[in-house]
Parts: sequence; C-alpha cells; structure tokens
Amino acid sequence: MTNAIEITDLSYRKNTKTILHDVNLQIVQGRVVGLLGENGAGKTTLMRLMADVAKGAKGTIAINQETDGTKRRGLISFTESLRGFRPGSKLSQIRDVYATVYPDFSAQKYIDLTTFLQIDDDLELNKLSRGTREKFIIALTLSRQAAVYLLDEPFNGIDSMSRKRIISSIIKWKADDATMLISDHYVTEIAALLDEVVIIKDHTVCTHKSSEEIRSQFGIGVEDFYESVYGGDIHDDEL
Amino acid sequence: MTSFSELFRSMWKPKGHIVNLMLFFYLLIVVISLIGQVIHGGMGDFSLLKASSGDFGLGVVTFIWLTVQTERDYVSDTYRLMPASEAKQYLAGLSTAFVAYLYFVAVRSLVMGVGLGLEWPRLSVELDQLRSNLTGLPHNWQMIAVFVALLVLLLMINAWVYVSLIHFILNTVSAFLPAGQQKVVKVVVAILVVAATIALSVWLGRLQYQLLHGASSTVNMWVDLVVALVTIVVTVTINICLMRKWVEAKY
Repeated sequence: MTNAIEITDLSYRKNTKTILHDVNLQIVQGRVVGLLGENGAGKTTLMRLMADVAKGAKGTIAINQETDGTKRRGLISFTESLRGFRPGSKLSQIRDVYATVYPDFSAQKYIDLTTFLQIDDDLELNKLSRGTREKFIIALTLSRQAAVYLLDEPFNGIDSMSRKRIISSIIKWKADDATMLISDHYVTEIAALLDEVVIIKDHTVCTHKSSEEIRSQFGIGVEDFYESVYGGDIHDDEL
Repeated sequence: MTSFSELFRSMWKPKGHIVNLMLFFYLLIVVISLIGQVIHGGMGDFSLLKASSGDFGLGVVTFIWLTVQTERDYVSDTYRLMPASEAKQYLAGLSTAFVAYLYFVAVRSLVMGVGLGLEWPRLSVELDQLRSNLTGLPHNWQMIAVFVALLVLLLMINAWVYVSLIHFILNTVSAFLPAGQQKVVKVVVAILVVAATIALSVWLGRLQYQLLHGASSTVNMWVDLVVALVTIVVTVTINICLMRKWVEAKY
C-alpha cells in the first residue's frame, strides 16, 4: 500500500513557542482519517503545513511521495475560508476562479454537490449565512479530484440536519484511492466515517489507530477513546 | 500546475474591480465639474480638458488601494493554496497591480485626449506661441521625456516591491521571533525605510537639477534606468525567497 501522507520528524515553532514537535505520521491512500485534539493542539497548523501555507517547519512532509510545496498544493484540496475573494463576489465567479486555477476541478462534481447541498450559486458571498458559506466551502473543496482532502472543522455553523446528511454522503464525493483527513469537534457524528484516528496531544501525534483496532483493543467507540486519551483514563504506555 | 496566465486572470479580478470603481469616481467628478462649469460660466466655459485633467488625488488612492490588495493577496489562503510556484504567484500579483494601474492611467488619458481633441484648434495656437517663447529647452528634450516616463514606471514598480519587502520582513519577524527581538527588528526596518526615503529624495532632487540644466548625459540617464531595474530584480528575488521559505498565509 502506498502512503498518501508521510510526515517525518516534523517540528514547528512560532514566536519561540512549540506548536508541533517531532511529528511522525504515515497515512495509507484511500483512508478517511479523523484528526482529533483539543483547541490549540496544532491540528490546523499540521494541515496548513501539509498544504504549504504555513512555513518554517523542520522535517519533511510528503504527499504521494512529493515533498515540493508547489506539487503538494496541487495534490491537496484544503477547506479555505474564501477571504481572498471580494465579499460581493458571486459564488459562480468563485467557482470560475477554481475552475481556472485547479486543473483537477470537476464542473460536474460541483453541479452535483451544489444541488445536493442546495446552494444557489447566483448568490453573493456576503449574503450567505455561516452555514451556507461552510456548505459552499465543502462543495468547492470536494469538487476537486484531489489525492488528499484536508477538511478543517468543515461542519462548523451547519445545522445538525444538514450536517448529518453531508457526513453520511461524504464518502461518495471522493475517489476510492483519495485520502481524507477530517479535523472536527463533532466526533460522535463523524465517528462512523472514520477508518483511522490520529490524536494530537502535547504538540505531537499521541496515537494513530484504526477504528477497528480501537474497538477490539479497548472495547469502546472513537469518541470515548478520544476522551479517555485526553482524560488520562488510557495511559500513553497502553497506546 | 496553475500557469502564469491562469494566476494572472484570477488575481486580476479584484484589482480590475478596484480600478473600475476609481474610474467611476473619476468620471463622476468630471461630469460634476462640467455641470459646475456650465452653471457658473454658461456653455462658453465648457471645457472637458479642464474638467478631466485635474488629479483629484485619485491616482494616489488607486495606487495605495492596489498596493493593499496586492499585499493581501500574497498572504491569503485563496491565492497561496494555488498550485503555482511562489515566483509565479509573486510576479502575477505584481504584474496585475502594474497592468491595473496602467489601465487606470490609460482610461484617464483617453478622456483627457478627447478633451484635448475638442480644444485642439485653440490649443495649437497657444502651443506655437509657447514654443517660440521657450528658448532654454534642453536640445535632447525628447530623450529626457522618454527617460522620465520610463523612470516613473520603474519607480512605481520599485515602490511596490519595497512595500512587499517590508511587509514580508515584518510578517516573518512577527511569526518567528520572540516579542523583544521583534521590536528591535521593527525599529531597524523603520530606520532603513526612513534612510531609503531620504536617499531617494536626494537622488530625485539631483536628477531633476541635472535634467533641467541639461547636465545629464544620455549615458547617465541609461545608468540611472539600469540601476532602477537592477534594484527591482534584486528586491523581487529577495521577496520570492522570503515567500517561499518564511512568509505564511494569514487567512
């Protein structure tokens, strides 16, 4: 099996404060992985380093064996906040920019996703509610036929009904060999999706296990496992 | 990978919007000026050239707005996530700002050109008189005009690349140095900016004197242009290196 993500000895400091230290992580192609950790644990930073928008880290990051930042960006589809666009931009104009600059952008997938998420792309960005904006970001991110999807808290602000609908269907929007890394606080809701779980604690990858392993080894679900790791009920030597 | 032309097109859109907005204000001011002329002096005082040739500070505002937009783009996830090298991203940002400003100048020049055309019969007589009265004009005044035009363009690009350099240094310093060292670097940058501004003013003063007194040879003019060009190339190279290694996207 080929690794989609391979991180070796990654350390990152900001203003002399350690954000990530000695991170080593391998994720095989095709998996859906939950990146879990408390606020400020470094989940977003790790994703931003993978996507080459955070700089100055030590260590190596390879996406499909590519370590060069530009090539990595071509392989990764990352949920971005769209703040680079004019607030008055129409969603269709943003779609056009994506279609222009990302060679892997699929117009058909975009139509399917916006239909599924009930987004009217004649609307302007600043007229969207927070939830609709997040849905649009998900639609844009998944419209790319990328090797790796990095979804950073993608369901924030989305109502619970839509959230459940998106989560239950998210798998069908990615190719079989595409890898999806999801960071989210709605652990219970995404748990059923996850093939594997990566927990970030104390600035590093504290554990990386498959959901099956968690069930068979500890006899608990993903959310309980996550809480036990953070709560100290499961000790480091047991991981 | 994203090509330069694709990057250019995507980065052009917000800048095109800025320039269109500023041109709208410009045309609005021209129309208001024309109405003012008619109200105060009747149709006899109607002069499109007079109404359109005022600066109104719009050139400066457009320049600053384009600069701010360019610098925002350099640290925006939207653009930094695009699969293009930092060199392409930087040059696309710089060239869209440049082309946008030229577009602004071109439309203004066109309006003034129409005004000039309407008043040409009267103006040509005045110009002939002026020409016969001017005796102290340097013999190579056409060459000087071309030199000044090129120099203005190069200085404009220099201004953009220097703003980027300062922005990138401060961005890097804020991200990676502790608070105490940040202050020291910021003070040093402030001193260097003041020193560079003074040096530029002195150089421009000297240049103006030489040009007006015919003391500048063709060779000197070319040397000045080459120096301005080399400065741009060196600063752009530093900016691209900073962007590749240290400058993070902020939002």
